[in-house]
Amino acid sequence: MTKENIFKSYLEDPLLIEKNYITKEKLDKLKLIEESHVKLIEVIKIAINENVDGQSEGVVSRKLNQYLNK
Amino acid sequence: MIIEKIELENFMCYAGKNSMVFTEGINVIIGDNGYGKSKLYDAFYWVMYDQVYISEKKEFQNTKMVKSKIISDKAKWKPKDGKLSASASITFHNLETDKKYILERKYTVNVKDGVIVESNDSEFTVMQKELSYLSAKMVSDEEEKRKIVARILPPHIKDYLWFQGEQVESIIDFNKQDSLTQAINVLSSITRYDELNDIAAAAAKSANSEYDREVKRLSKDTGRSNELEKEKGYLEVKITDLQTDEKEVNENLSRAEAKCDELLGKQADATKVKELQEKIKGVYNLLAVWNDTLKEEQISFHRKMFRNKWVLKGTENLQEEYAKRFSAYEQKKLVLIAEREAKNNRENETAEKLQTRLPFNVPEPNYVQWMLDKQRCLVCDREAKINSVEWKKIKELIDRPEKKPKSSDDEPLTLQNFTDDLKWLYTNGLSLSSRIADIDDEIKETLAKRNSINAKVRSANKDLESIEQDIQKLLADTSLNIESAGHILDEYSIQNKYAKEYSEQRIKLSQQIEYAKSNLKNVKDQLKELVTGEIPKWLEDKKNILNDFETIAGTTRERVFNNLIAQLEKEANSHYESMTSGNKSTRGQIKLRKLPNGYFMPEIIDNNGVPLLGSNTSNLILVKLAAIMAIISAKNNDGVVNLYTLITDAPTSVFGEDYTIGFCKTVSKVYKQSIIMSKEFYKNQTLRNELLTNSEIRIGKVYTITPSIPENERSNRNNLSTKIEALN
Repeated sequence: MTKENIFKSYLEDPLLIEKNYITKEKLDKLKLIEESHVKLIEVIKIAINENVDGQSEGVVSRKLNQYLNK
Repeated sequence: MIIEKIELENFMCYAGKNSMVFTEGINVIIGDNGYGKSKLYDAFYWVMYDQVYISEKKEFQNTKMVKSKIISDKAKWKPKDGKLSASASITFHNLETDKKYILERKYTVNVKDGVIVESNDSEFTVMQKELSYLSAKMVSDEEEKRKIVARILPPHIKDYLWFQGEQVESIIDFNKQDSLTQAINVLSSITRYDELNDIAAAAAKSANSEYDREVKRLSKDTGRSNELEKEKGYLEVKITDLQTDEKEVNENLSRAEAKCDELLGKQADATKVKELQEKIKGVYNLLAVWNDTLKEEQISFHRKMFRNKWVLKGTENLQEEYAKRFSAYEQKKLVLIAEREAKNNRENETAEKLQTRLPFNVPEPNYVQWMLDKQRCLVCDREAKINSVEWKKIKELIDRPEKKPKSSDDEPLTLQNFTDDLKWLYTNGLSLSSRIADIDDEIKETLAKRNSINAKVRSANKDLESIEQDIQKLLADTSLNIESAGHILDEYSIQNKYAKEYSEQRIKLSQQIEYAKSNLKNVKDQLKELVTGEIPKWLEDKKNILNDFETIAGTTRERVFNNLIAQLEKEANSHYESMTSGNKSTRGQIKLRKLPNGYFMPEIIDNNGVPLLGSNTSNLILVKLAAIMAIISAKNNDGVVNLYTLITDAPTSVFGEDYTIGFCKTVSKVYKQSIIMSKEFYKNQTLRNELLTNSEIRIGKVYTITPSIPENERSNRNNLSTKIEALN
């Protein structure tokens, strides 16, 4: 399963729209390599990229922290 | 990565140098029992894992244990002093990168004065070609060698791809609830979602702690905050404990439900056995009745020979003959009577004629007598002395015959008169001959009746045999015995009671968890209310985002897994249908049932979704194979999975020839390459032709293997070798 496939499966979650993180129109056009400007979606991307690239849970958590501490 | 070639030298029954090349598709090695199929499988396994399968012990053993048994007997017979080796090498080809790996394992012994001195270990070498046309370079780093082997066939999936026929059952163990889930985890990408789930949970936990610390730091009432923190900690521990209990209860509930299902299955089987036994009893009774009837009919048949005059059968000619003779006799008798009457008539006529011969003037007889007495003729008035011519002439007149009395007609013609007896016999014969005509129908009717009873006896015997076979099969399939059947119901009641109790406990625990969570939320709100100033927005956002990430990660994993299960179910059914297409008796479809503890178990259901109990072993094995193939083919659809070669020895031996072609079709669809050792194509030429020509089977190379000495003549194996012949 590719990173893109995993990413797409996360985007299917209704919570993203329910909690107004993004609109459906924008959601449909999203791609893994493109900036979404939505923090939750970027968090998901980081987690997927780092995990698939073989990074440990600790490293991924640190990277998520770094991103959200900005 | 496909296997391109295997080369063997003095490996077990493969004496001397042997090789086989393989292509993509299904490669089949055909040989009867004892022809060397398992040894070929051993060769593959030995190269990769330094182990061979000991079927008597049902376990793999290292070279250390097997030692020189690896070397062919032919090579070991009268060995020359020096070194003697057995080796096997496999060439793997990565078609995408064009890399080749040649893995070779060799076991060497020393021979001194004709005596073999065994060594403990084998040597393992790995050669690597960066491009197939370049020269191979030896890999000397042990860690690198290990990595290459793991890349060629990852250890966690090898059990699903390389297995002996007899191991199929243990791949997915229906007695272990996590068996299928484990296979899904190993063979699918769901573990990626599990890992992401863990990452999200850890990140959310860390963010919550950070947030809580900030809340505490900004509290206007430290004492109250500490109290609330304590309560919060207590509630968190309580929730964790309750969740642990809930998990345990779910496990127990799953076990109890599984046990109930198992007992229900057994109960159905036990009931079936009981029913069959009752049926057998009924058939025995019926058989006894039919046998008695048949015996009576037999006795009655003999009686009827005389009572119903069946013995007369075939005497029709006798009666006709008798009638003819009797008629002739009667005829003759009438002729005789007529003749006698004619004679009488003639005599009377003569007498009358004689009477009329007397001259008209002859006196009445009294005068004639008087003339005789007087010895004088009164007609001519001459003397007629006694006994003179004249006197005799006169006497003649008086002696002329008189008419015979009528009564002489009634005198019998012979001394014995059988007329009445013969007539009685004739009349009797006549009535009997009319009876003979009916005998045929009666005999036919009786024989038909006897045949019908005989047929019923035969049919009852056949029923008996069939029911007994059913019982034996059922007992063998279910490993049930008649005595244990009685306990099943009691045990089922107990397990069912447990299941109900666990179910109630689960509801109660769920409510307690909800309640504790609600309390925790209250405590957190109270803590937040104590905050003076403002919690940084980035921290608030971070906490919310990571908590939402945790939620999304959980639901996404659940959704992906459920989709995967639905896809697996679909694929498993497609494979199951394809594999069982040759057997019309196969019923039902595969359902992956979710257990309370979250695990999935495959089961066979009917069209109404009702589980089919008491499925036979072949079906269950096919369900397992279909489930594994579904996981592999579903993963294949992801498009990034390296496909590994399926190597299996006699996988179809457990489920009969009807499934063989279906199995081959499915395997050739699911696996890029497979190497199957099979005996089904050995004797069945039709099956073999179909394998080679069926367009639905993506066929690779097909070989037959034949030993130089048949298995039953191998008291001396010194000349044993194996001939390999390519069929395509």
